Amino acid sequence: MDDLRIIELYFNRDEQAIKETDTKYGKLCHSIAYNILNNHEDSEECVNDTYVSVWNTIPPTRPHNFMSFICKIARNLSLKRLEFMKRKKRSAEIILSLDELAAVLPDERYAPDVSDEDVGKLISKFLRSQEEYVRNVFIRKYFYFDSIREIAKRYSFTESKVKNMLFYTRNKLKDYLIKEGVEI
Amino acid sequence: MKTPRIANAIGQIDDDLVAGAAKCKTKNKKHWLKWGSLAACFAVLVIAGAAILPSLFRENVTPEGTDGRYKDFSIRASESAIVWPWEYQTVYEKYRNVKIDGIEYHGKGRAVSETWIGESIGNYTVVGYDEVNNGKKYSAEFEAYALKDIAQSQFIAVKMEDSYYVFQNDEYAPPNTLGELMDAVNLSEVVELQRFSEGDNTPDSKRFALSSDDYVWEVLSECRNAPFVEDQTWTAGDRSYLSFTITSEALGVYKVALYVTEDGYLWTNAFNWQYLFNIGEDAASRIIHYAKENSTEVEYEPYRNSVAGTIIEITEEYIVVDDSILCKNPTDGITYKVLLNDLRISRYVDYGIVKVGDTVQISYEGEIDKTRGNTIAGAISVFKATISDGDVLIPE
Repeated sequence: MDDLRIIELYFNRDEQAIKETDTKYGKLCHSIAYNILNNHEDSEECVNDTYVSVWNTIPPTRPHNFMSFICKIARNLSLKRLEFMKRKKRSAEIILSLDELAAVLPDERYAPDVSDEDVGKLISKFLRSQEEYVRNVFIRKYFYFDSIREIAKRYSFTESKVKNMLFYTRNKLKDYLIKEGVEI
Repeated sequence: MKTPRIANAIGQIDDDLVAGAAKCKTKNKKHWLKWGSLAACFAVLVIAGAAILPSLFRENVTPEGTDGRYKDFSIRASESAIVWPWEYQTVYEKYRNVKIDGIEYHGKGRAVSETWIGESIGNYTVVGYDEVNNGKKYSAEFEAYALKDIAQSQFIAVKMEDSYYVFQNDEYAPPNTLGELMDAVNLSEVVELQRFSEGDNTPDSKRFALSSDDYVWEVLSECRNAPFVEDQTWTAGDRSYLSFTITSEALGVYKVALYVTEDGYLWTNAFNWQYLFNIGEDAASRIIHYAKENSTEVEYEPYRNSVAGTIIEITEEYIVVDDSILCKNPTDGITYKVLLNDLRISRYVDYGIVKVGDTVQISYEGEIDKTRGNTIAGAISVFKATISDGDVLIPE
């Protein structure tokens, strides 16, 4: 079913909306959650929470890009759950990704006047200035939290090329944010 | 642990970027990769500590590379991250986009021989953008041709400077079935399924070759109804599979992959986008079984052949490279004469990217002519390299 029809179902408060969402995007949401939580049960719960959140948000929201909309919710809820689960259940893979990112912009003590949304806009602008595959590798890693191995396979690169690409992109992003006035 | 702020901010990036990365577009095989504004007027090199290079080198530096002359080294070369100024670009790098009958085609940057060329479809304006000059638009008229037995809606050839170059419909419009794809591009004729490895084709994996792929195509032709699978999360991952290496002049692809997985999928990145079909476990297992039973083990082929060494002379016509630096005993070193007969290689010298005294890695196509003082006539790139026996990353 196409996204516009699914959104219509939400607007009509038709519970079929959730079934259709699950059919179309369940696996994608689960893969994001699993990449973050490394645990099927928690991921499943996060995916269910995602559907509830979508149900509660549409209406009134009418997302332009339903897939990104739902991915963002799944990602956000999974990161929150990871935080909640704290150290005892954390996944090595995601912690490594987060540590790498922390060096770019650690926490709210830095640039407190700039909202995350604004930083997101700057990141978008930065990513648009990058070669398409560099941009996609970055997003696969830090939005979808795919493993280096998965990314290498997806784009037919070697794993070390992916690692290096991410290394340089992170550094460039940090320089870019500093240049744009985000105090790091 | 608190989520770093940047991780939350990345969760706010624009929707189209999120969606774009989900679409599984495979690496666009451009030879010359652009790195945005850094390029302004200068060629930019990005050093990549690349695991692929040692393997590429050690296993196939040259025929001489395996005769024990070389010490145990690792080499790191800068990767091809150069935006060439317009005048240093080859014609097929310059002109990449053409619109014919409402279809946008994008140049694959690869030549196709005349045997594949069908009827002329007329003269068209082909457009190119000069990335160094803020994307300044250039256009030129070239003659376009159909490719024999390949749907014009998918692929065409454009004749530029006496060679034909493959252009592909750039739109994401996957076929509904494997049969549809087979018909559209005459798949069984333009692709040979011969070299393969079990699992990933890494330098460490064993490689095999089939003497004939007829049986494989016979099985695939029985899977014409195999549906296209739209699954953005699919990866070969932990599946058990054969990875065929495919090169096709007509499709303008060089050493891309086609997987057949034991659980019944056929996956390929030969069409710019991920193409995935569910051919069923039975067909997959017949192919896998046949391939395993009827193949012979073959040598690893690197993505491209290379030589390495120190530049000891540069003239108008050639570069001389001495590989003593790689040898256990420097007196065992030999020299290679790399002809600057093609813009793809001569521009590295003209643009001052390499000079006498530099340690370099040179990629080439074709063979080394040992009868003419190890002459390399098919060189396509030369990059500065660092040779060491350690594992140190060279900074940018």
